[in-house]
Amino acid sequence: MTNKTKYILVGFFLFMLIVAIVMKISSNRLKEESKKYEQLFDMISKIEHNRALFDMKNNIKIYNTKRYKNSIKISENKKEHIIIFKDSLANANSFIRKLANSNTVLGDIEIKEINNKIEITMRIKK
Amino acid sequence: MILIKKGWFILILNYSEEKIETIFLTNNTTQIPKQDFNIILSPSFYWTKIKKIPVYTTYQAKEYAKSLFEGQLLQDDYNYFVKKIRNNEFRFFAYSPTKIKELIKNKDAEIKNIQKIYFAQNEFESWFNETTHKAIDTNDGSYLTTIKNNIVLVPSLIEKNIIKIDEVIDQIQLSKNYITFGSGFGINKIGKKGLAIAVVASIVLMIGMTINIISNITKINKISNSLEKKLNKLNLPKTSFELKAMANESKQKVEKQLKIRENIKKLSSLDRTQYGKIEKITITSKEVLVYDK
Repeated sequence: MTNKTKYILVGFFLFMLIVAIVMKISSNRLKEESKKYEQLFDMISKIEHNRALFDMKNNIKIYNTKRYKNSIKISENKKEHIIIFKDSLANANSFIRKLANSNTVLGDIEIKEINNKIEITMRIKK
Repeated sequence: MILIKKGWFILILNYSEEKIETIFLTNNTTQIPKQDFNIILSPSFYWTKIKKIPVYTTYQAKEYAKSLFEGQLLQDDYNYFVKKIRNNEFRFFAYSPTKIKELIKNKDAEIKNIQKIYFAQNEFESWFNETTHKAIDTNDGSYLTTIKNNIVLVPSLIEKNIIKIDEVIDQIQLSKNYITFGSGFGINKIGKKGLAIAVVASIVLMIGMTINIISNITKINKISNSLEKKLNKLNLPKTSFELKAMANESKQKVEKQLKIRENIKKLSSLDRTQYGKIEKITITSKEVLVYDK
């Protein structure tokens, strides 16, 4: 092998080495970027999952069931939905447990006894 | 030395197989190649001795070289080369690089073209043992012959069984016992196998890196596309700052819902006897409050 060939090969090797270093740096950067994207994707998936956990649609389904339909009054203002349920103790008990055991959205609850009936007022913030 | 039989790489490796001319160098050598060449040094350029010393490697033996030739060498600019013969037995060489370089320069040749420098002793010793020829005509009025296993240069011979140096150089297989002048950033010291391995390794490394980068880019594009779709579907903001805030908010909402459910369950375990007449009960995510009348 002549010196000229050796110089060419050494030059080629050094060039490849420099390119490899540059590629390694950019590969690391891409890896970091890819990690950031993965974290972002996880975050969005969590938001999606959390949103699906408790849904107002499930509230409406319960409000519209035969058993509770006539005992409920629903109103809303800018800040909150106000649900007033007024019925016997047994029905009130069933209503509140039904809400708690399903994927409904709950708010602050106030329970009162008025004229032998139980009044449940729930305020769900918007 | 063909490692890969396809592509352009073969060209470089084939090119590297060029035969390098080898010359026998004496003080009277007239023709020196203008291209790269190897040298076999005439015995007039070096001193040689065989010595037994209690070391195992040529590296260790080399430390004794200077003292072995003490008193025999007229100048100080000698370098040394050691060849191991057998355990504890070494052949020592003392040579003057300055003398060789000056001679090459005087012949209008380039020092940088010298590839490897061999000693006649190492290259011709076994040749003399295997051949019937008793001497080699060096083409400049002197002859190489062997006396007690030492290759020596003599001005004349009675011997008739002589062969020309050019024929011998074509026949002999050069040994691995050579020196270099270390010109051109030590390029001569780089072995062709090592160099080929380094080049191949760097190509493999490059291919690996390229695959790595492509896979990362593909991964990013894939995630980025599904991210975009999800953001649009969920109607979410596109900055990571806002998304973080939303993620925290949604986490807090979930925690609040779970707490309210927990507190509703506490109602069933409420001991009503400890209260008077209950006016109202409030349930929030933080507490359950029972108000007496």
